[in-house]
Amino acid sequence: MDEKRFKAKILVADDEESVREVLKTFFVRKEYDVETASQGREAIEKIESYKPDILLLDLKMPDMDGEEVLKYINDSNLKIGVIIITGHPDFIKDRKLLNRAYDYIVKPFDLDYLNNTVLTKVVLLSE
Amino acid sequence: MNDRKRIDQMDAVRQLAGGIAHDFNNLLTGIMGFVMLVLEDMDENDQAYSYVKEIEKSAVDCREYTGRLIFLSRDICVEKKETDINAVIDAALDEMRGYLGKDVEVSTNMQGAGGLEMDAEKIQGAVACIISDASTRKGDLESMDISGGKIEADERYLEQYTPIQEKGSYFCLRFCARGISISPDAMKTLFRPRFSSGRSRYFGYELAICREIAEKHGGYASVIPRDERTVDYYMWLPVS
Repeated sequence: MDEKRFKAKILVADDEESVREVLKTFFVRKEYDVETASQGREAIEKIESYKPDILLLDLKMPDMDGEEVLKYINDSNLKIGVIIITGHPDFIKDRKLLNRAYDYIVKPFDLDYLNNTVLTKVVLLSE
Repeated sequence: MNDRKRIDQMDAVRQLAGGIAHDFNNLLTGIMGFVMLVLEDMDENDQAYSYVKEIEKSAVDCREYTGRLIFLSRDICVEKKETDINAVIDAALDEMRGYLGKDVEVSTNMQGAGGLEMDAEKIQGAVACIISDASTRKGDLESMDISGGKIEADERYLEQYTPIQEKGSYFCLRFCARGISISPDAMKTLFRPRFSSGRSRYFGYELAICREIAEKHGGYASVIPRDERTVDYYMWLPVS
């Protein structure tokens, strides 16, 4: 697959600083444009201003959890590839909502695996 | 300890285990991710490369630990389906091969095992718990004979096996563990949630989990020392 079909924008929403930093470093190396948000509300603000193609979304965040962010994206009909990244596979209350995300990956994940998931979605978005 | 207190205690353990697993998995994501980035930048011949590989190995071990915590944190919901108990036992033995050790002799003998309805994944978990418990008890586990068969629990049977509360048909699974012992003091608190580190796979909660799985099936679990060097673990699952 061609990684440079277009320079996709990735938003990483996670309250854990080390997770944000490692994902930002990794995806910048892969020549993506990357922004981060440490809280749910900040994620929504950046969805509006930054307009990401891909959202790497943590489920448990202090002010607003990932499920609410996902609901906002769906209610707003935004075309964002949402990949849920969570530290506990059972921390999702609404399983139907989960189906609206592109994928669901449990931490700690392999970065190459995550990259392949992102890349597949980016290819789909660019078609 | 009454049932209500025991259920509350297990719920508290579940919540704590789930919270710790979640937070550790977050931290491990950072550790493992940065380790991967560092390794990408390093020359494999650099001595420090092998040190970073050791960090990676330890992080992978930690991930295995958090996986166990997640197992411990899960509420046990049972979905019964027709199951081949032989396949369940084989899968549990495969899963627990590392705990049993290569010198431990294992035999299985199931009679009338067809048409049993159970939650295969949960029963496999319960069998893994029994194996883990036996492998951490005092002594050296030498062998485990796993047998099973349908029994009719009448009044006499209930007198002999007191954990069973109701008469009826059960599939009785027995795990005869030779080479280990359980002290009378330990017998008093056998099924209570307790913390134990070391080789224990589920941190000493094995028998508490095992009993809960049996009870969620409408069955029972028990441990009966046969002599000073042999312990029998039992599970009775109702046959419809």
